[in-house]
Amino acid sequence: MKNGEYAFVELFDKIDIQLVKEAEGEWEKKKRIPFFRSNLAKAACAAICVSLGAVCLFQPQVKAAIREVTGWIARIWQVEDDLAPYTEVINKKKTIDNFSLCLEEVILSDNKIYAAVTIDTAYPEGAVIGGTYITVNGTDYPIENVYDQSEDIGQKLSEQVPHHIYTFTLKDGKIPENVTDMELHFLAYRDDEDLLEEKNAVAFDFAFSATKGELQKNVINVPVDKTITLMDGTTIKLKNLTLTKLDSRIEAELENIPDNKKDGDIMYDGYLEGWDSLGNPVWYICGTTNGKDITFACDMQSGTLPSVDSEWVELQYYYYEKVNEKDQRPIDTVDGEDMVMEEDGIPVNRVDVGEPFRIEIARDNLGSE
Amino acid sequence: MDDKQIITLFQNRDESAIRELSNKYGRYCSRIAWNILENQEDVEECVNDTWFSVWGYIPPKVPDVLSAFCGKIVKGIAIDRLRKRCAGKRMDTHMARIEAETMSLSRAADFAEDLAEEKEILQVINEFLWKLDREKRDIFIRRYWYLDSMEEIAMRHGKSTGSIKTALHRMRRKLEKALRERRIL
Repeated sequence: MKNGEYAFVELFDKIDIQLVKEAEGEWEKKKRIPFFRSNLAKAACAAICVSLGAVCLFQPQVKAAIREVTGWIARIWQVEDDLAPYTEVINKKKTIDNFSLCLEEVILSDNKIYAAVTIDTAYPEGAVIGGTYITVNGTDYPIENVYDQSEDIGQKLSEQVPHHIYTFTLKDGKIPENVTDMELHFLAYRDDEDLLEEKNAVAFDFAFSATKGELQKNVINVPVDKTITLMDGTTIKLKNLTLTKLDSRIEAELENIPDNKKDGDIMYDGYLEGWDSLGNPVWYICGTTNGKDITFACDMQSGTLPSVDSEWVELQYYYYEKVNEKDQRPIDTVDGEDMVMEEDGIPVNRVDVGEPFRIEIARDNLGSE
Repeated sequence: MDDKQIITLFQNRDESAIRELSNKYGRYCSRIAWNILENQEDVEECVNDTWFSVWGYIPPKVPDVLSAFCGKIVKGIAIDRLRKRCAGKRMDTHMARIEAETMSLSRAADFAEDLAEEKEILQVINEFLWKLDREKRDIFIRRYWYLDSMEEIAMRHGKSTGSIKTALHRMRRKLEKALRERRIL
């Protein structure tokens, strides 16, 4: 019998094998299910398209409705609003050495670039993609995140749904003015072994152009003047909120940092949480820090993004403090049960700092960057 | 190639069985080994050792679920390797975090002094898991069987990392309660 370190993990290893098998594949009930996921939805959509087809030549508003469903990224992440016009439908396909990559769509957001890509291959293990980066006006930016739905969805709907959404964050935090030349690079490998040894790579490069002009019409910029004072005297001065249909960030600056802390050592794991005026839950995470400049961010994929149609967001700054289990307090009650938090196995309490505050999102801030 | 065909290759002592197994479950096993070892060289060695262990087990063994069978073997090999690597050291690893989370549940494992007691504990754990709704069950098993990170599970379920941590914490507490009721903890 197993005792000592990793004892539970080793015991848990022996659970009912059917449970293990059940959790083996991709999770089917993802929060953002592609529109065509079920046969019922597919049939319903087909019916809508047929009926729209009969009248769309005569009604401009119906054309707009059809344009909405051309946005793959919007559909996959279930964004209800049309993401045009900052969507570029690229639909460029290249086939090299048994690999086919199709760059379906690119979205320029405030400071991010999202690319939807379909990958097909004749190799049995499927394509393994590495070496992904994007070049914007001659500057390379690495991939930040990839949303992969190639397993169950890709096999069933390979002709209809892009397999991956790649996210790139630009280093200086903003898409350059007058964006013109962009190039997306991938290396395709036939298996993990080739990827690890970086051999037999097949390079795919997609060049295209885009402009920032259209994008700017869709970015809401709100100056913020709010200062939060932490226990150690450090202040977080919130300066600006930027909001699009895909993501949002709040830029802030640290001030009054105690002498015993250096800028580079400071870790602010705080959060801004609250609601928008439409009742959507909002949750910003402290993402990037650059000296005294910090950014709180959230995006559509996290499901905690304020609506661009909201009139305000109300936020509360808080952080988690490590405590002994006896001092732990519930953070919420769900179904009559107390919910508590822990960080890396250590009990933590939520500590609110200051009072909730409201940021007004006036319509005239649209495109005011 | 389906699992039955691969098992038949092993039963026939056909060496292509290892290649086919590696093609089909190489990525699956590498991911589990990576979650434990977080070192590519160690992962490769562990996965290779796994194929040869499977060669030793089949025949006579005929696994019901080949993927999980390989997963269990690779986990065992990887944990042994991790133990040797970390002997006498306290390290901030992914596994150390999982170990910290399951500290109190590990006492249940300590309780099992023979196979009968281990079977009794596993029965409680299995019952607990089957009673969970499917999403919670998936979260628990991805964390403690597949040893996924909180971030990976959060992405898999389209939830925040915080909500996954909370859900796991609650489930561990429930399991502890179930074990206590059976006087195992």
